[in-house]
Amino acid sequence: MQSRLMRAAIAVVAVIAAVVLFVVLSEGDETEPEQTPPAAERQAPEAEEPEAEAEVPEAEQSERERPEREREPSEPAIPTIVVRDGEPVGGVEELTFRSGDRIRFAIRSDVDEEVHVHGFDVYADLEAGRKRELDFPAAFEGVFEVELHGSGVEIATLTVRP
Amino acid sequence: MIAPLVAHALGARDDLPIPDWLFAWGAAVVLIVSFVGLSLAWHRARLEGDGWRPVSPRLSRLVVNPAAEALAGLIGVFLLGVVVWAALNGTDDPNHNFAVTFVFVTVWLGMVALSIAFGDLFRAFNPWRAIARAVGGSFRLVAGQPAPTPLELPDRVGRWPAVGALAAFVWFYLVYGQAGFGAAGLDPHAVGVATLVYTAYTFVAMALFGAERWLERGECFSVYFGMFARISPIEIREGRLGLRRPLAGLSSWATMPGSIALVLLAIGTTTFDGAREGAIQSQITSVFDWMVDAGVGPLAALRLTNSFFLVVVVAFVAGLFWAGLYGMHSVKGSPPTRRLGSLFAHAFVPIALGYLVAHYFSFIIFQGQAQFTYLLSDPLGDGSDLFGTASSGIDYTLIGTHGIWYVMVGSLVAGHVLALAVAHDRAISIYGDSQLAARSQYWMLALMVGFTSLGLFLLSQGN
Repeated sequence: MQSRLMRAAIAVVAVIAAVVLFVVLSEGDETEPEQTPPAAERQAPEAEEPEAEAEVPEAEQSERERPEREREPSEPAIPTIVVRDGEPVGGVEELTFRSGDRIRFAIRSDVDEEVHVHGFDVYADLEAGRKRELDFPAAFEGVFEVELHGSGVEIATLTVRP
Repeated sequence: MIAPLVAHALGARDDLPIPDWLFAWGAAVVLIVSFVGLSLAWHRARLEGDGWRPVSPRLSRLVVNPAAEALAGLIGVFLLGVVVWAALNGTDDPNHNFAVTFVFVTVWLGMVALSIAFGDLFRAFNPWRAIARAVGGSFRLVAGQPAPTPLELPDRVGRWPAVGALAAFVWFYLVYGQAGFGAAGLDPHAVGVATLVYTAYTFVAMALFGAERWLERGECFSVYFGMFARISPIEIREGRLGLRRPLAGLSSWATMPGSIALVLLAIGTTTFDGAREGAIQSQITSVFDWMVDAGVGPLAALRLTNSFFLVVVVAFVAGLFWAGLYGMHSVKGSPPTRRLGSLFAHAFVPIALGYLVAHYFSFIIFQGQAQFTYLLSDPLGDGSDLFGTASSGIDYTLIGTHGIWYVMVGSLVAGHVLALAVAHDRAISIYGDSQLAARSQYWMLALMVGFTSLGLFLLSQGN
């Protein structure tokens, strides 16, 4: 009898502990984005920095997530990564797309380089000062690096969500 | 400010963090199975004494015979040679050099899976053991007596030499080889040199202390894979193939000093590798920034920071373990805390396994394909095509994110259940009285729920 009571008590305590833990952890999730912006919508402030030169206002960036196919392929409203002195301006860009959509972004480098999208193994030559657009299908999911092939510097993190 | 790149030293793809709903479900399932398990728990120890039984002599001879042993040894030595050759002569790109993927994916991760399925396979293929046996055999043939061992490795040293070597290995893999600043992470040349250094070290130690004794206590790969092989139902004992109850082999594993450190190191390093790309990434970045501000070079700062956090995370895991056992010690009739440590350490091997699968499953599924396609045909990365598979690559559509998430969470839950079963069994044999055993198990339960929740938390923070 006593052991049964004991078990019930422990069960209650454990469930409370789990709930508390879950609440604490989810709060942790909400405070965290300031340090590590994981998703595109959270890094809006970064994109708005004047020196970032990323020609993507927040509204267009979140719109980009959904009605992908409805837009004209020539529409310029795609994220642009600017590379200056071999480094991405404003830090490593976070790009997020949905599986099955098209992955579209542009890069402008101040030196001749080659860009390599890991996993997808997309390579493209970059001419100094000219904007180069990439467009390929998000055929599978995961987190992939986009790097400058010559220097090996990471310029963006490409996330393909299910 | 230069930001440290947090990228895998190898491979091109990372997993997405598990979403909150899956985290919640995982945690709920863990709690439910824990309590259901406790109420269904048995009252008599079942895993103590593993009930090993030999299979028929004919079947045994088919597997365990001098020809098979020589063949396996030769394969092991050949592959060791290929690793050194490819590492020193092949391309600098870690993703296109056979040696790097072979050591850190195919052997380091693949051998764990094989050990659980088939028993201690590494012992058969261990190149250092094969060479030592050949040398020892020749010595006996010439001198008419077994090779002398000039030094004795005291019993109390236990598995500590293997713990030290394993710590060096994971440091090399996770800290030294960490990619950053465009520098290739796991430089194949460094892998080749490290392999040669470890080979020389192993031969010297085996010559000093005797081959078998060193393989049991100092050769870290034998000890590490041997730990997981204890889960397997297959074991060769005194030259005969036999079967035992799965998991039962664990019961006698942790008796040697250093075993607790080994299993905690295994859990701690996987935790570190998962946490640094999610849970503790911002802390790592701030310590790194602080060091760079203090005038330390970026690469040195990155390695120092990672070394520091590796130690902190392993210490945290060890602290959790000892805190749980300290609580358990408060139950009437308990052995002292230290003794409880060696009595229950083996129950954490399934947890270590769950962590390993959760963190590296997708890595071995995808990077493992590289091993058997282009790396096999083009081991040096110089454009050769030995078997016609050089142009095949990794198929990333093999399994989707949802499938990977379920495997991750499922492996943590499965490891948790197995660990609880093993710990419960041990508690009954210690406390005799099943009520006291149950009370001691509340502590164990809390500890294991803690570890499994930590594992789930890491997955939810990205890894």
